[in-house]
Amino acid sequence: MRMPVLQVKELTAIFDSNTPEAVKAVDRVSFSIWPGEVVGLVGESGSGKTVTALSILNLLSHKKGKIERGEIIYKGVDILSLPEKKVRELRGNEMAIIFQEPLTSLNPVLNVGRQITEVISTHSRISRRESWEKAVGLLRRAGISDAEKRMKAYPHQLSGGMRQRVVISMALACSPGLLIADEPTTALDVTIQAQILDYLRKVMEKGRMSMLFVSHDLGVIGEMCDRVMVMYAGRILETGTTMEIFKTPLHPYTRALIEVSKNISVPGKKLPVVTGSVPDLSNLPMGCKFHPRCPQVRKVCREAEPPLKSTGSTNLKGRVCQVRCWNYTKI
Amino acid sequence: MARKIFLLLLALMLMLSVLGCTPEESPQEQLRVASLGSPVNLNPLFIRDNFSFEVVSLVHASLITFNNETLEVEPSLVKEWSVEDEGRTYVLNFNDNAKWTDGTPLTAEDAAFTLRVICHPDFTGYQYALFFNAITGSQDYHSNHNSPLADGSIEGIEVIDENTLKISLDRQMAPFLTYLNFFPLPAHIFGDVPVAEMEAHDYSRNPEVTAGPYILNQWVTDEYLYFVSNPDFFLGQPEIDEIYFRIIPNQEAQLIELINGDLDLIPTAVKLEDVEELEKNPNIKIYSNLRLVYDYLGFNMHNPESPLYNKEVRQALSMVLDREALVRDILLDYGRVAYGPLTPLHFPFDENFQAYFVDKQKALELLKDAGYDEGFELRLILNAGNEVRENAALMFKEAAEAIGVEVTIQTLEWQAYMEAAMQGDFDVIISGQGSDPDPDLTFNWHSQSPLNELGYVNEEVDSLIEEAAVALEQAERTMLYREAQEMIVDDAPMVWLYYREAVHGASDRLMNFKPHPNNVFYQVHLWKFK
Amino acid sequence: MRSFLTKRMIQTLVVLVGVSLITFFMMNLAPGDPFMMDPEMRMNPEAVARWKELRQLDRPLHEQYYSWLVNLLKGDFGISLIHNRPVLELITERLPATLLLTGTSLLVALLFAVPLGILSAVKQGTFLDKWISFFTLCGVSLPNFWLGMLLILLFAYHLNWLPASSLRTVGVAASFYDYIKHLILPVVVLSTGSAAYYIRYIRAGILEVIGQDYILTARAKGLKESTVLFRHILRNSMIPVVTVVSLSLPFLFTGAMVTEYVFSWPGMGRWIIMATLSRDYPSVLAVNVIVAALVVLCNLGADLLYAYFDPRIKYR
Repeated sequence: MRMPVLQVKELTAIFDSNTPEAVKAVDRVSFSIWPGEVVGLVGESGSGKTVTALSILNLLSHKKGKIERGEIIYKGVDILSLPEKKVRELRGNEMAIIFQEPLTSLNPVLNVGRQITEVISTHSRISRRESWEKAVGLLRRAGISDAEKRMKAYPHQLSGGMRQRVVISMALACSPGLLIADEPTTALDVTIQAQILDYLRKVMEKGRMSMLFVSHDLGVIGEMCDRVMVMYAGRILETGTTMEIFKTPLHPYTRALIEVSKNISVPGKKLPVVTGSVPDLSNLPMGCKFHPRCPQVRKVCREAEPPLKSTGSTNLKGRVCQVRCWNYTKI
Repeated sequence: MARKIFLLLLALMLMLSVLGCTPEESPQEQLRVASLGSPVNLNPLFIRDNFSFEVVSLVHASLITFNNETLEVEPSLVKEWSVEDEGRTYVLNFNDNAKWTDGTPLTAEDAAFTLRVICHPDFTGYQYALFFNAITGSQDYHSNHNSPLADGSIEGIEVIDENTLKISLDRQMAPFLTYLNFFPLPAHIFGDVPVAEMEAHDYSRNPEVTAGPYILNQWVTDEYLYFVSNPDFFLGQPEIDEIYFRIIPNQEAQLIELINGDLDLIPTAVKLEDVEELEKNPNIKIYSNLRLVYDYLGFNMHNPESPLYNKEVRQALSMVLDREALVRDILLDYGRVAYGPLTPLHFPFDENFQAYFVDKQKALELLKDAGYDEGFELRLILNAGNEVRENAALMFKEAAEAIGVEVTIQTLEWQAYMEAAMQGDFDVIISGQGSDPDPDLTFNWHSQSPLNELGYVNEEVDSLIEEAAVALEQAERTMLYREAQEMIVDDAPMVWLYYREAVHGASDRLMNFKPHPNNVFYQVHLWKFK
Repeated sequence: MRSFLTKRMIQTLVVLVGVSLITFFMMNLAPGDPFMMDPEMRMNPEAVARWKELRQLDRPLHEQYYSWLVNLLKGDFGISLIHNRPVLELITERLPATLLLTGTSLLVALLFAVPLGILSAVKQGTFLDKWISFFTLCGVSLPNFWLGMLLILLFAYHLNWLPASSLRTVGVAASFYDYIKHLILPVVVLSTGSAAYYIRYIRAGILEVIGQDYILTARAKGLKESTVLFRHILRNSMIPVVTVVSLSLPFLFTGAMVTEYVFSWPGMGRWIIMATLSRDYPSVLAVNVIVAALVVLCNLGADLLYAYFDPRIKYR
């Protein structure tokens, strides 16, 4: 049987804060990504999506966070136990990441060409000329006209969509096995968003790459992903194939998210949101973390946190669907 | 890379240590003198600052000098003199072996030329108006001479022969001889230089032709002046070969260098609080002497509306300050209380003359008599940076408050202070009064003198001063000046504070150094090292 | 770019004329004049008047200013009223000593500040960073006068290792080692303050950049930490550093007044103080105009460097 590309086991990531206890941004999260698969990670902001994404590259220290425990196994190797040098060899090469805001994720003082070729030259021993050619090719494939000329441009000289194409080209430069896209289109307007998603889909068609697609927007997730994980307060609340999640969402939170995403494009209406407020990570409620906002809350929900339970149905590829809710778990 | 840097550093350190082995002992025959500031001008006729004044006597020779203790006139370039015609004629005999450094003899003509420069309409020093306008014909020369050069002649200045100069005055002038302590300029260098251009002449920076005990060899800007002894000095070649006049504005640094043996002499500028420490050092000798200067607390008498216009008020204010305590506690006994305008160095000085002791009761009575028993306010100004004066101001403020006089102290930057002083913009001022070697009181106390800043007017004093200025007998002058002093002190135009001693620190190797009231390098040609 | 430079040149001229005007009239309005240096040196009013007449100081101020300006355009800074020599000559005599001191201090300061600033930012929050911060705080808050006197007392007096004043030993042959010995203390004093200052700027500049998304991107690319630091962080954090360094360049010229006084250094600073105290108008004017010109030039240089370091900045 084929191995997953990535296995995340019991990942717990914390941030230091002024409270006596460190804040757990991600709490015992486990999941796997299989070759060629696009997995969506959806949730409101602050739910731990980006922390999960950064943890996979072991880059959490940049945000002053740290992985408290867990394993991140990429192609059979736990990267958390690797020396930094080895992890560095994986970053940008085997695992690449695309950030939300293309303007801030590009270095303003280096030209585009430099920023793409540096990934290539870091991970492969090829001449400058070759890496230059390769970068031009990447830009061209990403749909940038005048790619040669654009190589010399600085980020501020490009449009938002163009920048994101550059960012994607950078991520794809070394043909990674896993691409993490952290809200790759959120900062873009709708038409550009569609183009970028198209391009990403096209890249995925080759089938050699897997992708973790992080978004707060279920609509986009629905378009892109084979499978969806719903995150809330640092926990996974539900997983399932995109079809299942959209057709038969089990968790009340998932249902609320889908409601919201259906109404999103109604013009003239206030942007709909899930009622209630995003929980404060340093002061999480007892029991189910969603219970203060849950319409179907019961006594047990306030007292004990439900475990993530398989729903019994397995999809075609044999991957389990799970939900974390007392409604579906026998007490 | 790191290896290379390491090697480079190593090489550098080796180099340094090798260089460090060069011997640094200073030869015995160098005298290193400290100065707080740099001279700017070595042309003796155009000096406006103390630092230049200190060094000119190294390179120039004056006609006469003053004894360091008695201030009596001593021969120098003028080896003897006679006064004739009831004090109206002075015949000066010049030393016949005096030579300029270029070999030209220094003659009576050089002195005559220098006097013409001083009397020239374009001359911008102070000497003419204060000292030499009594020479017959000098006023005519000063107003009517119409060549830019100091040529022509002045009636009262007659070169009899190379070594004899006769000066005639149109009135008697007792102190005249003391005015002759000027330094002649070489006539053969300046003869064709317009007087207006002399100050900016290269000579001011680079005096090549001089006649003093030392010759300026090198002037390194703001760092030091290097002098070598003049083998042809008319009093004999100086004992010490070389003098470095080092400019060290930081007093503490001067002291440390003296202690470390990098300096041999700190003239005048040793801080009183350092003296005790220095005296313990066996390698250092401390000298101190009185100078012709006293500090005072002066009352502005220009304004008839002011309480200070009233003599009783001034007398009352003269009775509040404990000057003995000031001298003891602030001057650490390096000085003595001043009671009047005649300094202890002047021949008419009277050891027994004392006036105004602390007497609060009497002061209050005087204020009451004057109608000021309800008190009033005074503004006292002084210059910033003089600790002794600052302390004196505070003591006076406190003492005056005891008799109901409110004193506001204003400490001013030097220029602002001087301007306020000149414009009379103060009630009380703390300042210093310098006087000439002659006890003449004219400049500071005559009602017509431009230097009489406090506005002191007393016609009787005027006539006493005038009389004393022309009296020829020293005994008579002594009597007149003592009388004038008593009157002045009775008028209480100021509170005389103290004569402050100048404290000098020298290496104990230095011999024959004699502190002098106004000449650091007095008899420098006799100085030598043990 | 061309029009930008032209514009700046015109601005420069306006600034220079402005500075000279203000200095000129302020100097003349300030109390005192060049004759009030020493109370024991007496002046007589008639001679003073003649002296002023000879130097044309008796003319109306605007005429004096005009002729000063005309002479300046001819490259003539005038004659010092105290030294009676061309001001330019006085400056060129003192400049080498000052440049030796201030230049060395700047180099030493940067030599320490750049690595320490980087270290302190990269190791932010660590023990090391806290120590560096402590020392910079000391460095910034220690007055030069006090530090200078302290060093003199320790190294010149108690230990007698280093000289307390001047830039060489008099009466011995000049040697490189001798100069170094004299340089050490004043350079330590001068560079402590400025190094501390630079460290804070460099640290702050780096910290601002270090949290940026593009640094995360750079790390996510698998670049080595050193590459991230030198290629991505430093270049972006250079701008504030360029600003402080270029703004401190004019002070290379004026020297360090306090330090030059404490160490009896024969440089510009001491002379400028003396010139100001003694109301040597031409000297003070010349210094002010030159410093103003240097400030403007260094600002221009800084602006051009910004454009070099940051392509987003364009001048037209």
